[in-house]
Amino acid sequence: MKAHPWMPNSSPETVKRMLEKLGIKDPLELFNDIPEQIILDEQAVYPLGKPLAEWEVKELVESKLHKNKIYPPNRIFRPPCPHITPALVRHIMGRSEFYTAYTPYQPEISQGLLQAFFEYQSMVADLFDMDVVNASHYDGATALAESILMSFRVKKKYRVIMDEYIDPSYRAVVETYLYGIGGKATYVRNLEEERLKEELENGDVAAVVVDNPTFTGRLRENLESLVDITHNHDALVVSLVDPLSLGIIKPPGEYGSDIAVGEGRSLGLGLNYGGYGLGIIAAKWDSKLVRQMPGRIIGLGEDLDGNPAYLMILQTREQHIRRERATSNITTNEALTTIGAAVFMALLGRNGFIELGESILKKTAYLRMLLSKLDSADVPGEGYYFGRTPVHFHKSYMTVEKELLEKGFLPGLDLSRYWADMKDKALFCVSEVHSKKSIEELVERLEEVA
Amino acid sequence: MEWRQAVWREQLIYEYSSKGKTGILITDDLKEMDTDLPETVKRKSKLELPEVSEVEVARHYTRLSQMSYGVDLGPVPLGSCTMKYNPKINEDLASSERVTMLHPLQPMEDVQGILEIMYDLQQMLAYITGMDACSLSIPAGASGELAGALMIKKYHRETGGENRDEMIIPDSAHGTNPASARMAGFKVITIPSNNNGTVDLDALKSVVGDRTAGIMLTNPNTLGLFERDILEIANIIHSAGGKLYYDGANLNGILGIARPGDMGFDIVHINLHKTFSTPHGGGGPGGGAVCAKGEMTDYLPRPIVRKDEKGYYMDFTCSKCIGRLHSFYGNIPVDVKAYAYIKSLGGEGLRKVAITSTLNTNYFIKLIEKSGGYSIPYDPRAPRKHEVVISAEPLKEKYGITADDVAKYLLDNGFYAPTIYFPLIVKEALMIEFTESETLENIEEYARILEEIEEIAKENPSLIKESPRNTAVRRIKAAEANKPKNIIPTYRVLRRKKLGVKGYEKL
Repeated sequence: MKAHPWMPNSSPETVKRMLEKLGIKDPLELFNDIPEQIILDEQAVYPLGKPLAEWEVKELVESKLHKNKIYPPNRIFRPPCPHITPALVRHIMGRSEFYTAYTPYQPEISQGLLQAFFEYQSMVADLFDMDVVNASHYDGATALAESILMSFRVKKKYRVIMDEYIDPSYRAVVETYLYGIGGKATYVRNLEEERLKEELENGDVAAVVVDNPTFTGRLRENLESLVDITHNHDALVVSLVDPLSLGIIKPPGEYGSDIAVGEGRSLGLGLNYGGYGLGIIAAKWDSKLVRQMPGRIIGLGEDLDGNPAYLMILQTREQHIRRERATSNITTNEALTTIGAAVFMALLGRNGFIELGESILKKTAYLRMLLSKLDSADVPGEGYYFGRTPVHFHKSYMTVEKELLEKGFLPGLDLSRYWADMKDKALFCVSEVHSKKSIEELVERLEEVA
Repeated sequence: MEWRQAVWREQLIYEYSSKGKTGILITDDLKEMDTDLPETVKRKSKLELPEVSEVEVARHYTRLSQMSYGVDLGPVPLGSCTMKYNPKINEDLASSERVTMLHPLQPMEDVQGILEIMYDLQQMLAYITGMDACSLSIPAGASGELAGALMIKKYHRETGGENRDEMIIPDSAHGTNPASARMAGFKVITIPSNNNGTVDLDALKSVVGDRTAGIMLTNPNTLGLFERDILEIANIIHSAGGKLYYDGANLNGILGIARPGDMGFDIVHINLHKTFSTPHGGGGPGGGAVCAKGEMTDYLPRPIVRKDEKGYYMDFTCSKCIGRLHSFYGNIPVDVKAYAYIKSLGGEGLRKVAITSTLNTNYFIKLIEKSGGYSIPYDPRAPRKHEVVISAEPLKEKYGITADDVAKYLLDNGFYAPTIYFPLIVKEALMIEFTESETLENIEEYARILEEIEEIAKENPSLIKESPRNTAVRRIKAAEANKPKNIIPTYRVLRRKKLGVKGYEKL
């Protein structure tokens, strides 16, 4: 390899010119300060293979990707559910002025990025009925973990209470973060009010996490009561919500949440084998909370001429200034996905969020209704469900799952993987991408096998 | 070159709203189902989102993109950020439906392709860093740092070192190091740099002891200098029972030349969005790997992709591991891009990256080393690697021109500014990293503009002070925007302030 297309100065001619200016013969002289015993020789890199041309890399990667099986979205009934991914979201995220940019540390030349981030924060704030939203976290689970740490700092207490049936991957991530600072989590089944009060009596709890809908899709009907109980014990409410539900479902601000978090993957970003995630963190207008928020926050200000201008604000919370006293170590976040989410929220708008929410609500009810007619399964739970439902099979769910997979469906998640007392229970999801017909086909297949 | 950024004076998306418009068509095939919800569940407050058409959304965000500046427009020589070219083939490959449509909880048999890519990437990254194993289950660099710090904590807990609660960090370190150490519950012990800008061995020796958990170090450091005493540093830490953690942000300048594993490091984190060309996306999503050697591999975050006779699989088993740092497996499309990048370059190409980026740095130094406006603090004769830190202090002393002013004048010339005021040990710091992607012409032009600043400053410093003029807005009044009464983080707060809603007067 002489010159490489991604390294303009790598041609022998340019290298020669640069070396002459530097007064050295070999660029390796610039590495003379590295101890000799750890310098690699040229052969050491051979196991990494030879350089490949663009078409060779394309062939290589595509040949591997070809081994991945893809299910059509309306055959996927396993959470996290697929959702619509408008083409415009992808196209705007594909603008290289956006995606090849760095964090807008120089705001004057980065107004477009900053305004898009500000609009993301603003639309999430309106959706959540909260005032302040940060410029993103890695995913819903890390957003929850950092919100809990935030509540610890605000309350100077180091215990959190969560539903025993909270999303198990969130639980795992929260516990990793708690291990770091030595915090504790207590789990209360279904956030049962009397048990919750008992746990709070001690006075050492900083926050209660209220997930709505629950991991299994149930909409809580006692939100205000949970908030009252929590606040009466000098603890904060951290709500964990599904952003797509909030056009029709009570938003965190309406029932007095102090902090609200969510996973924004469903805002037009696609599945991507689980990443990109988009961690949403919101707080109400309270200086104590906002000053302990992790991550970047974009604000509106003015330039010297008095024109509106956007910039990163409240940066003294952040690691590059505050170091070990920062509110978090986060630097790189999920910036580009917030632009995608902003496009998505703008496209949907006020009416789209309501229509989409209603669509998911109806589809969930329809799926539950059809399932409840099956002889071979029960649909546990009363009340209202959004986007997910548990199903209790009367035979081995492993068998059901296997047969459904063979028929080209990705069926519900086997809950016994996470909870021993959930044998033959599965969690099915449904969304706007599932047509009435595809829901009926799923239930027909279940009838055949179960 | 005359440069002028687009100035769209674009209003907020909310201000395009007009009742009844929509940007998306949603059909309903379940008209017979009702949508009644009880008051206990239902949203009551009006949803204050805009109502706009797809056309308007497309124009609005395209216009905003024209007021953004990235590597595809020109040099972005932000030190420690490694803003290299993002190859387009990588973007194409990662946007394949066989990546974007993959469900994270599909059976392993369905996802052998992506698992193979992840497995190979783990192996290649381990080889490149001289480690034994890697986990990709972290979403960004700082997450990898937290992983590393937690691994060290857990290791000591497992091996009877509960009292080891001190993490040593040089004063030149990235801010994320002390912040991550704190999040892992460590007390941060800051050690000063010596006159050569590297770790002061005497200072190090004076702080190590039976409370030492480890050290977090980047090498080359943030001054672009290779820590030439690294083997002795490793010896000091290991002898005291501590572990060495390598901050991979500065790996670009030594790719294929030297490996952290050979230097004595036990844990490494890698930023795929720096060293391995995946885009920064205006701040993210990034991607990472955390890698470890020997006994430390047991502590890596889960899952890790492994291979047996049946094929590839995600291994969640965890006896000593620190657990999970992402709800799934990190930012997968980033992994695909990094994989394609390493395969494109091969070993020879990666080595060329280190050589070319280092050559670029030192060529630039040669162009400005005699300048009167700037100095090169710490061992000016020593070759720099991926980046160099110069100081604008002479300019400040002579003409009152600060690092910030220099940055803004560079913007006016159509170039992005360096990282400024970092590392903290250099006054009026300009931290410059061209990477291997920059052209000779742009490096020369950059140096010329820096010299020009001094020339202009001699005659008329206000000309520099008034920069930028050619960007979408002029200099922003940051201190004003941060005053409690002026904080506007969302449109909702702006609306409430305008309406005079009680409680929103200040934050």
